[in-house]
Amino acid sequence: MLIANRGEIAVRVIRACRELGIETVAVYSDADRFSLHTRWADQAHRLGPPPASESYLNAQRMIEIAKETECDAIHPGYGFLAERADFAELVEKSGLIFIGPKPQSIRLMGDKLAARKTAREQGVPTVPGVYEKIATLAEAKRAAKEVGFPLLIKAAAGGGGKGMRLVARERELKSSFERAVSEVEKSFGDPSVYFERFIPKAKHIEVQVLADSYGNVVHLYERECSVQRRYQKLIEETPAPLLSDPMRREMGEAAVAIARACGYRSAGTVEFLYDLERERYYFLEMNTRIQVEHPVTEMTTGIDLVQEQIQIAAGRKLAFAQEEVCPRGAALECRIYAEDPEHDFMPSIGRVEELVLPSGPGVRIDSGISRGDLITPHYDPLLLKLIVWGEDRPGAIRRMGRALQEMWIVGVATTMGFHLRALADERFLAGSYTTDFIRHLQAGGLSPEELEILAVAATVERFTQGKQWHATMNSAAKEQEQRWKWASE
Amino acid sequence: MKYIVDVEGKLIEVELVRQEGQTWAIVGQKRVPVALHRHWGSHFHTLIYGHRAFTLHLRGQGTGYIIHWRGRACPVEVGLSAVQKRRRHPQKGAAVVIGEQIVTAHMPGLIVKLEVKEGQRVRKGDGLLVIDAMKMENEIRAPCEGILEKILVGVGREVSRGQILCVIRSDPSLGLTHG
Repeated sequence: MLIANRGEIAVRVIRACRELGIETVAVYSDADRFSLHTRWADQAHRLGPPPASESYLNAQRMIEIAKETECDAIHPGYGFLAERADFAELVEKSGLIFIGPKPQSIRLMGDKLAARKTAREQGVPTVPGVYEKIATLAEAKRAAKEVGFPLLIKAAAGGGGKGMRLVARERELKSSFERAVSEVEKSFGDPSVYFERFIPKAKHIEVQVLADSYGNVVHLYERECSVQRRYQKLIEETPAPLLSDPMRREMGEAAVAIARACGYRSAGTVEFLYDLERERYYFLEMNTRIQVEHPVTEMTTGIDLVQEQIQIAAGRKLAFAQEEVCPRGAALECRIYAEDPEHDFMPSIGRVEELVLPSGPGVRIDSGISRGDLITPHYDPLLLKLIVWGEDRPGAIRRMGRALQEMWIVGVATTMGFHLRALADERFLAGSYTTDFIRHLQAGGLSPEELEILAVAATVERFTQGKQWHATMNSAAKEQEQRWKWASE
Repeated sequence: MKYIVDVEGKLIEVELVRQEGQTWAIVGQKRVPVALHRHWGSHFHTLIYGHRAFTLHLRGQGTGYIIHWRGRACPVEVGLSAVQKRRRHPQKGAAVVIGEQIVTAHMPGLIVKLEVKEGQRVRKGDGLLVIDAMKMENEIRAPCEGILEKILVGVGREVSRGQILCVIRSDPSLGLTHG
């Protein structure tokens, strides 16, 4: 099998293949020549230079390599080519198996308005808003009157938060609309947008589904992903706190109905917005791929989603029915990004000088990096995911805190400190947090005890090194001088 | 020996004494035996503080250290108490060489524009170059007045945070205004 991806998800797929006895072919750009996924796969083949457009997005080259290496199937992972219907089609036309849904399903759900209509036809509530494309300012004004303010402008051709804009009042409409249209055109090559009513106190809850090629569809319950920055997730958990069992069941059934309606196959995720005040849910979109946060579902259900994807692609029937899916306990995932939470989550570039990973009961690491790796600005800055399982939610949260304290990543700024702060926040502990959680999370300082420990450690270091101090400074100055010489050559 | 330690802008007084073949730290009213063991071949250290042990990643030299602990990187400055009192406002992160100011990148990104040439005179606040980070352009300005002695980067170059971009030498006729 060829794995058309990089980083932690490529490693994740290799693991599934190893366990199933399938040989793997990794692909890499020049920036990833020695990355973990290239070393773990049975073979590794070069795609091209570092930019994604010349490497991981090069569909033709993927097919070529798959053919050369006599692969039977291609797993796209997430991102890059995963949700491109044309790629799935190309794979199938080349006589290879695409590990994912049929191209038609990807295309249908990729068109966000068609997806909204599909949900409505199934009797699944959608966020109040329009169902037709908006192209001109006149149409925008008419639609805005119908939807009401505040409203969200969204791209019709794709998700991921691109082009998404909140418009609070009418006089902001013109400029926001124009900026959104130009941004959307740049990202998707199609300028159409649509409007949805903005729901202020909302949670992001999604349902995992699995479907085989014989019309069997099950859901694997939900994940809550309301801790987000720039509409991208940082912490995910299952089960969603504060969600009643009847509501959980209803949302699961709604997700299955939508998957059935688009003739779904493989693993997919139906995303909902949950209005905390009105206790109502609305369909947002469907992601036709494996998701970053799939491990939390694996932890509570005991089902290996990537292996299921492979089995389904191989033509097997689902081995279990809905009643046999019995989640146990609670699971939590923290995404560790090379980003600086103190500086608005700016990506951090550098070398991973030290990497110490936690272990112990109920801890899982899905990592794509190793010590010494260079983190470049070319790709998504996700370093690794830390996932824990606990008997219940408080147990899982405490375990996550423990695991984070066992972990060190030195050399690049990471979101670790942010996660520790988030886990200690009252709204997070109560489960009442919504998608604006990060905006209200206060920057945390060190406790007096922590300050004392750091102060003492540094003082003892200076005290014991006192004698060597001058020698060290001299050699440091020389080294600095040398570096300038190199740098200016 | 008495030290004033600056941890993230907070000042803590730590006194270290050798007694009974053992180092003791005196912080506030407390007197605690301490030891710092460096793990072989790395910057990891175990701090023994009374009966407790803490593993930290500690790196640095002279008076400035970076400690990685509990998911964050903390800059720590250790100064001798007597020296600190003389210099009321110790200048943090100042130039290594007197009369020279190093300008570093405070974010990773791509150099998209150079606004100055080597040998050019700059005033404090003058734009030096522009870094594109996350599709946002950020202008790096001169931190002091002087002559632009060296530019170490060019347009199209990727820089990491902390990387040296250029060096400004104070104009001797202006006197040494910093250092």
